[in-house]
Amino acid sequence: MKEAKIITRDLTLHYGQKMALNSISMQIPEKEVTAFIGPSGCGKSTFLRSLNRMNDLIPSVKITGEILIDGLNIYQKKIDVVNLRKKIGMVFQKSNPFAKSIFENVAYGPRINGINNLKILTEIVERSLKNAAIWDEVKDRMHDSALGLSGGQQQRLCIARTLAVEPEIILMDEPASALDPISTGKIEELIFELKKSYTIVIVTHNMQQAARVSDYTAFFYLGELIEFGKTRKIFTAPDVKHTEEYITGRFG
Amino acid sequence: MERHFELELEKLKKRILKMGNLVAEQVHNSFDALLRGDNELARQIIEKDRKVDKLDNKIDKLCQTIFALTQPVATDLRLIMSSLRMNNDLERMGDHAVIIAQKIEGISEYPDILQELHIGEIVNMTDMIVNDVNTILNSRNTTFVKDIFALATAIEEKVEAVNTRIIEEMMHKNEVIVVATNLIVVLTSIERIAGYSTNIAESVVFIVNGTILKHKKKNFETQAGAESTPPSAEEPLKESADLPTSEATPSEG
Amino acid sequence: MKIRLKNKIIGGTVTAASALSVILILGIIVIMLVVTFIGGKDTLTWKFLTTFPEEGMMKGGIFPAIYGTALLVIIMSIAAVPFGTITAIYLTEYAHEKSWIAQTIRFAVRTLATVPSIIFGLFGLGFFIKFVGAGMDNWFLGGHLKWAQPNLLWGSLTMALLTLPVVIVSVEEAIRTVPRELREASLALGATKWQTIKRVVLPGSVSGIMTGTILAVGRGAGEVAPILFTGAAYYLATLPTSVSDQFMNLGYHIYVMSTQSANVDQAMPIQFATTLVLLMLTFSLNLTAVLIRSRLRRRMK
Repeated sequence: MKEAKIITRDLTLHYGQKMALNSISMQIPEKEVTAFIGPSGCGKSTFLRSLNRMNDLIPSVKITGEILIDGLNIYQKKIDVVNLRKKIGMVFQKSNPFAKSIFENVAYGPRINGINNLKILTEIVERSLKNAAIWDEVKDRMHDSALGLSGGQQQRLCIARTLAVEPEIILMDEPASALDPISTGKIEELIFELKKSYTIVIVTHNMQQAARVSDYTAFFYLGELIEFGKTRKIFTAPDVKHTEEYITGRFG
Repeated sequence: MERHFELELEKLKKRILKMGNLVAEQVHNSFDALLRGDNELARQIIEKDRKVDKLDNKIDKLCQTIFALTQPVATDLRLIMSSLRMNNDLERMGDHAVIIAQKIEGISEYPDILQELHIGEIVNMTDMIVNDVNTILNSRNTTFVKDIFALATAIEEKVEAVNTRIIEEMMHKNEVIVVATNLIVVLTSIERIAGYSTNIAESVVFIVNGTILKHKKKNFETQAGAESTPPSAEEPLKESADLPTSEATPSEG
Repeated sequence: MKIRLKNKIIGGTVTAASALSVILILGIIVIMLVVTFIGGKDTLTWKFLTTFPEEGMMKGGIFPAIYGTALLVIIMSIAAVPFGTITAIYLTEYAHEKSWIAQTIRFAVRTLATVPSIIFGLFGLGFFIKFVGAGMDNWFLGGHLKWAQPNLLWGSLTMALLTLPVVIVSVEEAIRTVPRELREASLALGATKWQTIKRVVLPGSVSGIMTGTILAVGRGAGEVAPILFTGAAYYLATLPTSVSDQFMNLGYHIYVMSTQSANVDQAMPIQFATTLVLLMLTFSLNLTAVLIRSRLRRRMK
């Protein structure tokens, strides 16, 4: 296992009175793809959204335990959430480009960081679009609305938008669940490329997708981490019977 | 995912070819050692079998991983299924090379018997068949497959004839019994090597055009005539269900 | 069978009743339009719209009233739209849904919307003129009377108070239609809350803000009571040149001509034409607002 980028210790999360995550401890390795699988409502998305403190937006959420990123507890009082989220990009289930041009979508992150020099912005936008493998499809219509792109293109644009902020970690919340197989394939191939430079955590309902793209897999059930290990191991000979039953489709 | 998946498949193809070359070398060396009565070479062959076994394990694991992680279909599915089978066949061929190597010492007491019974001819034919199969494995060109089947049949007949003669010899000369028994074992192994070779040829055909040839080698001549037979509808893939217990494999004695 | 028959009767009655009320409402609108149109069509000319009243408002045009109304709604919008928008942003983005302060503001806005408009007029008179205006005169002008009397500014601000609920509700509704995903996308990119509001939420609510403005303008253009004591003039020979001047107003003009005129019957065509102008103005403003809002609703789905 490579060095751990994200470490959680006894992470417990409540929505009001309801416990959504129960004492999760795990180490997510750097520059690898880690997939979270499990049936709906098992807490995998909640856990993912704890990693960039997106759950802060929900008032009733209470969290105990710690999440260390590069050894730093991100739930410390002195942590600046805005800076934290610059370091941890997020790609959502539904592609959500802004109602702006393709260029302005990607330039959004740099602009809020105070970069307004058009030359620098152009460079960042081009590099991000290339890294997200969508440059060739959009280079001739940078100033058209992003909403005119297809679903798969929009999702890759959203990935480019995330890359433009130069994060170290990219969280993906079912990034391909709304896409057709071809677009899904492109996203998966992109994930495979991106893991050379980024630590990627992906939540997916699609077990085959987890098997294809990830190096490590974590299986969640009812807010608990049931099993975490190399994807090869989990999908050929899992240690826990529950995991085996889930990945073979015998329950859930 | 295509490119990533392709990489894994390439890795598998490379390993199968490596296995093919390794086993062909083992078989060739065992024949060489047999004809020359070279005990040192025989020892080396037995030593090297560990390498074959290791590669066999590696290929098995790789196939398992690809099955579990990428859900292959169509050509890819056939490739991986056949790779598993070919791997198994190659490993068995390697084992038979070892058996031959182990019996060399027992035959070297009376080396003339090899000449008397024209064993060299059978050995050369078998060496040829192994080489041919290795070529097919490399090139995926199935045009010569029917030649391989014909050669295998010829070897089978020859071995049978020689075995009859050995038994006659044993009835007349008591002193050759030990050597002759060893030779029968060697001949059985040679025959099986030829048999496994045809299995591998079948697997290559399966990869290339999805036809399952088991038990139907005779029909193949007509099929091979039509160069690019598409994966035919009258050969549904469900036959693959009984693949692991391949009946075409000569049963172990 | 009996139940079926009963249901049929009830259903039929309800259908008939609702059809009747629809016809009634439509009928009233149509009659209103037709009567004003017939009564005013001959008087309504380009000249009527662009000239001053003459001969004690028995002849001539209504230009000062149109001009005054326009100024009124513009100044009112400048006051009400930013204030309403900021309130709406606070209510939707910053205040917790169930916090007492948000609840209080919502209650206040709802109450404000139900207050009779004449009360606003009285409030304007008491607060703006007698308190703020008089205070300003005392402090800055040494008691010289300038601000402590009805004028364009006080009239507009009083009208702004009346239309504030309309703006707040419209903008709130528009802000709520900006998808949560877009806010999350912005926040996940490391934007602060304010950056997200400025760059994503507000641009996405432009049509809502526009609807609010137009509805407010429509309401403000038609109301008379709030400006009765705070700025509208019976008749002015000149156009207002400063916010401390009084102004004429379409609605007030109609009121004046139909109650205070020397000869009400003689002024009838002018009354009809003025009413027609005011009706067309408020109708078209409302129609625009409805169209923008329906587009907004479609986006919400």
